[in-house]
Amino acid sequence: MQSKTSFFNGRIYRTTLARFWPLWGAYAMIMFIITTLPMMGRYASENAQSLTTDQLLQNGWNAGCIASVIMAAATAMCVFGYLYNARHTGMMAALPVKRGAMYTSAFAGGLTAMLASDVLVFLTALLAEAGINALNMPFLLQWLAIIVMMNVTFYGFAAFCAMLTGSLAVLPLVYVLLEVVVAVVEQMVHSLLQLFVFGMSSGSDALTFLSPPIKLIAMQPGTYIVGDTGIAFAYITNEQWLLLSCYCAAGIVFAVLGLLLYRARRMETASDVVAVGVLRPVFKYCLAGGCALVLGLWLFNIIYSSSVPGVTEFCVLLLLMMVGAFIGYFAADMLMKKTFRVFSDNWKGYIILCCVITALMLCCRYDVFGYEKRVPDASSVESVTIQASGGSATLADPEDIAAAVELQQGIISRKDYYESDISNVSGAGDNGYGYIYATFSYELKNGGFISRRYDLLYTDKDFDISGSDMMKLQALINTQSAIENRKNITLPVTAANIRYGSISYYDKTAGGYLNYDLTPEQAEQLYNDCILPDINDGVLGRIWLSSSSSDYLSKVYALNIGIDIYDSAKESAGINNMNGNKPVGVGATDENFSTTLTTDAARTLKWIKDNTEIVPVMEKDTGIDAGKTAAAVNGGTYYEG
Amino acid sequence: MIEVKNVVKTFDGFPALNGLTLTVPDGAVYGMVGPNGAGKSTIIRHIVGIYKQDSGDVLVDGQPVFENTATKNRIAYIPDDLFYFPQATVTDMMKFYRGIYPSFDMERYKKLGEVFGLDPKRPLRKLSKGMQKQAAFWLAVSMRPDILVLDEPVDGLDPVMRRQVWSIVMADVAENGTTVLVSSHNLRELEDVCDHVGIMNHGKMMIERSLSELQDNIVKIQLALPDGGELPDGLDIMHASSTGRLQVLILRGNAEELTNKLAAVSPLFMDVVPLTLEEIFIYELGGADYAVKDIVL
Repeated sequence: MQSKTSFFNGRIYRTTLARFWPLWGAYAMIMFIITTLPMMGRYASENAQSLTTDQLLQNGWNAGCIASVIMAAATAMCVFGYLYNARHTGMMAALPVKRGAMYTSAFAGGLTAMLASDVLVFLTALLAEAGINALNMPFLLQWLAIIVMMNVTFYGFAAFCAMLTGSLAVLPLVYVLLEVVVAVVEQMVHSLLQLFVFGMSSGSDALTFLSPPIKLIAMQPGTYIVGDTGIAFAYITNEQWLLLSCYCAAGIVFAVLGLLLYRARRMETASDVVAVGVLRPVFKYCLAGGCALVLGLWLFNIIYSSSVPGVTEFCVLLLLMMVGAFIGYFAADMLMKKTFRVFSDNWKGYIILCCVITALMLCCRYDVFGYEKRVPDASSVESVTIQASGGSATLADPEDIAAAVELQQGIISRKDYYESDISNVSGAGDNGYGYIYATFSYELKNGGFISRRYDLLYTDKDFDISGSDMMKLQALINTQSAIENRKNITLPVTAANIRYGSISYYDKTAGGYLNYDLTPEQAEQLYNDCILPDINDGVLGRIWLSSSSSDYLSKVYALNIGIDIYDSAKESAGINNMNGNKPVGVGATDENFSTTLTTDAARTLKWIKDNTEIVPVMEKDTGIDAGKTAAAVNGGTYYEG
Repeated sequence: MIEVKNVVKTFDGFPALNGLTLTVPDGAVYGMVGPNGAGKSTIIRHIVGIYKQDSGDVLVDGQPVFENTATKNRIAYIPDDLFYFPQATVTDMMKFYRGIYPSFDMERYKKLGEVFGLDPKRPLRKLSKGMQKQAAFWLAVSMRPDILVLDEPVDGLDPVMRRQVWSIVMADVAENGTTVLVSSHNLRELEDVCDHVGIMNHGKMMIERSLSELQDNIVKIQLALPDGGELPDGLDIMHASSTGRLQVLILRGNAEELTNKLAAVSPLFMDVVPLTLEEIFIYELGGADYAVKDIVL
């Protein structure tokens, strides 16, 4: 019986569903294994009803995402598999079914099967939860919504990719490549530019959202802990729901684009690598460019380990990129023309590509775009965050901002020194030396953002010279406001809120570090009566950029104080709200504070001596190499020392 | 009626069809012949709606075929290279086609099942090529098409089944006025079944006529001229060969007119020999630089 509508054919739909039932069955089985089964197993082993839903959401997000990515590709390969075999294409295209109807029917067949598998797994989870008396319908429905949205996202995109190629083997490659290409290229370009562009900021993930699997997997569900039970609950944040919704909408858009491509498809492209004529040059040049980037950088890293390449290294990299471009360019031609004989009359495009690569690389190296020299005007800066060797400081005071801008300008003006070979640096000899990274991240008043990262060569002498870049940097990350910000504690530090407090200290008798547990009351007293006033006085919470500088050696004890704080009131509220909804205001509840004792922190030092049997030992007397770039003392971040 | 008008189709710049024009009258059995690479299968794929032409028109009863379900409903196509779903049986494929083609005739399907004697429950992939071809005919004829398009249809069939298949097709033509377009290299067989012939070369139609017109227009004459005798002027000689005095001429023109003309030079011996389709094919293409070449190894 023929469908009366022109955009759907019931027979094609049913045939699609029926023909690939093993795939749908395998998917349902896999989803059952990665969701329902571990949930039941965890319940059986821990006998905790509330654990089940957490397991479901965690696995639904991560493993579900991976399963959905794979399943979408497999489904597209099956339901549109007829496009990749000339005989099969002929048989299907000769049928009295409009192309639109053929596409939508096959697409709907695949999607229905995936969603039906999801529902089946949902029902098994429902029965399992009901069976162990831990039914949590809101969580289950959230899981189903997540998986369905992921299915639509990835399947829509896989269907689109299926229309780009005429080769079954190429489809999964194109699909996976396009799913991750933006994030990968973004990182590769950053890695490349960091080699030659002084101040190039560290890896950015600004465009990672264009690589949905990477973005989703990196975006773990939030968790909160219920009371003092230690039971963790997962929840999906509003940001995650929004992102998933956007991806889902994009999946639908891609599915529609796939339909448009299908309607215009030349059926004779079965077995062609690229099925869309206008995309052939795009494929060729993208593959060539990609190979230039990936192979060039990879080979360069094999040959050189230098982090500050000179002209020779630049030329070698350029040459290796051209080799990569050569491989990509002609491999693309071979794939498209299905012959190895592509070298005879095809050099013009390659030469043009090499010229473009060379021009771009030269522009980057010689800072044609002014990236290296660009420093914001201090008056246009809202705030600047400086990070250096594990410590950070956010500065909003105009004087501090002006000092940061001045320091960065100084660093830029001494680019040649900072990029020079360490063996040529005067004073490097036996003295402590090394590299300190420093990042300057400016938030501008107009909403803009500028970030630069530098690897700065230093010797310990630099920390004794007034006005040196190192001294300026150390002063900036130890401004009073920076020290206070680094406390990073927003919750009231009360005995009720303190989950755990301890002092880790070096014991001469033991010859190593020991731990001293504080009671919540002790921790509260130590923090509020001693640490906080010392921080406010600017004698605790400082950061030293070099652990071998004389200042560090004379002031820092081998003693670290750590306190874990949580919101006891809200967690108690959370225990009464176990229906799967995140308790209002509850996020990651724990905050951590840790600081290292210094000789100037008189109150803290006295409290430790008066209330414990600890005998503080200077860091320099432990005989343990604290590392070249230790930062001591802080709030909120754990430091080496 | 199938009409193909000035159809051009290129594959990566190569012109597979180069302004092809073709007309298949209603109820005709149209044999399409041509050398390998002439574009026969390509134009067939246009006629059944698989390919879309770069330019020109492919029409059935005045309607375009591409993306026209009403027109495609009337066409059954048996390709040179058959394809069935990998696990499918004849029954599975029957159900599939029955769901697609509204004109699928179950009565006819059952009757034809007795003729072909195939096991409808056996997976098609386990059948021989010839048996798969039989299954294709079984399914195609069961659709009760107005137009049957066959690309090398009897390849792989044994002589008995060839006759069986052709008799079914011819019966369909006789009873239902089905139009048949068939492409084949088996010219001897086409000669028996076709009433119209088109000869293609280099993506173009060289000659398109009814078979009788074609045979009436090319004449093979054996003759021996007296000493010093010469052929009269104005003969359109497609091919000439001689053994001693005996000459064999392939001439374009009417047999009666040509014998009268040759009689004027008083040949010692003259005989008009009927031309086969294969000979017409060879001599026509010989004029188009596709002659059999003498090879010295």
